[in-house]
Amino acid sequence: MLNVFLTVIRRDLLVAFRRRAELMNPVLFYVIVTTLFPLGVSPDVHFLSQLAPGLVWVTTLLAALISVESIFRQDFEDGSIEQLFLSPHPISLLIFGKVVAHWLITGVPMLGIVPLMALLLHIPGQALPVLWVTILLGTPILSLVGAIGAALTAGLRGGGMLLGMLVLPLYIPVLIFASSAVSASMDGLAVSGQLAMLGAGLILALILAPFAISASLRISMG
Amino acid sequence: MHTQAASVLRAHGLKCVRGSTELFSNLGFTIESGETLLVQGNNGSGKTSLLRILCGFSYPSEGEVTWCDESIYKHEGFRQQISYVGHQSGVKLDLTVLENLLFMQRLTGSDGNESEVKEVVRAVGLFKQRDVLVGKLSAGQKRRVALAKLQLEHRAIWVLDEPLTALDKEFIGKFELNLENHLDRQGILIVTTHRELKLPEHRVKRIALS
Repeated sequence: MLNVFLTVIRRDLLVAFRRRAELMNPVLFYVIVTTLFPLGVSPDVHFLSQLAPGLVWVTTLLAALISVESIFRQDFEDGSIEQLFLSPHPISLLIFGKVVAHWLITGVPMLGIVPLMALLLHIPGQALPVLWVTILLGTPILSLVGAIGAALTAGLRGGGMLLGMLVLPLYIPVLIFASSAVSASMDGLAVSGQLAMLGAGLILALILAPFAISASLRISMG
Repeated sequence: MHTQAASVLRAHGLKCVRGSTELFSNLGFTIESGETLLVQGNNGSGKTSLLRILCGFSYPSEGEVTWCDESIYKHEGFRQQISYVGHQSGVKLDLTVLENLLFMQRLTGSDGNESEVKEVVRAVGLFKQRDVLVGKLSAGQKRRVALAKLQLEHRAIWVLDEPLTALDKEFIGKFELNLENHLDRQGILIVTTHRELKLPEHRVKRIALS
């Protein structure tokens, strides 16, 4: 069973790396927003560092929303989603493999790029480890929760707007706890509460989301 | 071969409504091992919808489908009996012929036998193109890749939606032989096609949707 799980991840990674232009979209979006923001609003160091935690996380959230829309779209278009449903393996395991691949493609590059962009927004060095941990805990939640909405809207034309309306309210707790952790860390306060909430959210999403995604896909197929 | 002796697929009182349009109603039939159900009808008459209901991908508005006298939605092993090739072939354009078929083989529970996949690729006449991205193949060659998976999955029920689309005469002849061999092995064939399919007449049941 582990073999087929890894096979799904490997296939999705291979397909993604052969479509490099799409692969770079979330990272490019992130870089463009965080570099344009100081130019468009104010380059003042104090002002930027005040806004930075929220800005970093709003941008991360929107970048995730852009990428998650495509997680099942191609499978619906080329008919491979039906093939997953005919497999003897649990559909939730196969779908989980797809979400893991999606996180590896979109979340992991964020782990590299966000601390660099944070420096551009004058987040002090002492807060970078906490920022990195919030990205590590938060982006898998964004992928898992976003995939539920993507599964529900995969069969619809122009489902992007609906996806945003479905998913954004569910992203808000991640935004609140993650940006609050970074702000608290910048002020030298304890962050264990916020990180614990993010960790709990991740565990909950890991347990429940694969089943919710499978059920949503079945609804979309019918 | 995963066929079961005297396996029966039965549909009773099927009705399908899409939006405000009723595609068909009160549809019933029985297909036994070694038989073919040929679904005919005009564009938009509900052929694909019927096939998707028979695979368990979607629910009928009314009626039920049973496999070995148990609802297909409750029968644990039913989906493992089906090989489905729809309009969209389930083939990834960004993977090579070999990569696609190896993935399909592993998805069906096999540990991955590359030599078997290569044999099948040779049989469908794509051995030279085995490392070519499917997106770079012609429409007919893409269809061959999709149909090749039937030989790898070893399943009892083949559900084929317009399988002959874009295929040349030579390959259609070979493919018809494959279908006949499948029926000889007590498999079940459910197929929609606008072209004539040469199969033994006594093994074919026809339903026409209007």
